[in-house]
Amino acid sequence: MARDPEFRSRVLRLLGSDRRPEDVVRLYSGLRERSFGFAAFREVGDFIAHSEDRSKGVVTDELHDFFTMLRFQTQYWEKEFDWSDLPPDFPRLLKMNFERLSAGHMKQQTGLNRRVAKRHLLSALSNFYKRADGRTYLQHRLSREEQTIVQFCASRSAARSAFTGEGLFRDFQRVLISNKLLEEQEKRLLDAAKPFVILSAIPFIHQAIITLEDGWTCRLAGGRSRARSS
Amino acid sequence: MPIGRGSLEGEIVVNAKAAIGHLTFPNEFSSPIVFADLEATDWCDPSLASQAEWQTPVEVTAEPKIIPL
Repeated sequence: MARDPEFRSRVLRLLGSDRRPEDVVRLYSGLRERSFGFAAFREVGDFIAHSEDRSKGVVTDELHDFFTMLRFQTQYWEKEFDWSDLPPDFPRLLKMNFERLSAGHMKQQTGLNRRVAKRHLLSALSNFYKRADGRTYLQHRLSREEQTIVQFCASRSAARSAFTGEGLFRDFQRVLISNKLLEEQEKRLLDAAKPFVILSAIPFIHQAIITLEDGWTCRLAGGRSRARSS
Repeated sequence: MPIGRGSLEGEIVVNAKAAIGHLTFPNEFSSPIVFADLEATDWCDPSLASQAEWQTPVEVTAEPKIIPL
């Protein structure tokens, strides 16, 4: 692959003292189709290319799973589950949520390690069937362990970040190297531009609209975090 | 409801807000989706550095700092 002279010139300015936001923005957007699977880089490039009404990417995927689970859980807020009348996608929701919940929290709350918990969950889910109207019901009684992990997965939520500034910068560096726009020995020079690379992405994510499903949307907003929430 | 990875107070974040449409649960729920790993007071204009949610479009200067557009 030949080195792109325009992109290389922009990288050289970034490595020197003449840093310009438009250079970083052009690198994100111009290389998004050549991002070699580095998801955070690709996501920022896509936000720059079309920040309104996003419906795919790591941010969308993460928000879709989180809010879908939360919307399901709010239906049962301060109510017991009715095991004879559950949403059609109940088994899929539980499997998806299992993958999102931390092993440490799972062990603390259920006494089960992740491997054993997964076995009990899959065993439990084989006891759920579809009703004629498409809703789900529990046909057979669950063991104590099965019930514990099903309750845990159905009632807990985990908000996770789609990416961090550090991760985005690592992706940025790797994409430049993969496109022969940055030499190994220049990596240290790029380190000095790390805040610049991270900050340049924020205006394009701030105030973007994400489509979750069925016209249901989510609005993104930059700001200052209030406090540690874990 | 337990929430996973938290942010350090004062960090630049991008929050996601969505209505979840439930009568007794807060109508709109917010969750951090991007952590910048950078302090707002160091890298934002003072008018933004104290705000939990920026109300205007923003841009980045050559300094670099995030400023209102």
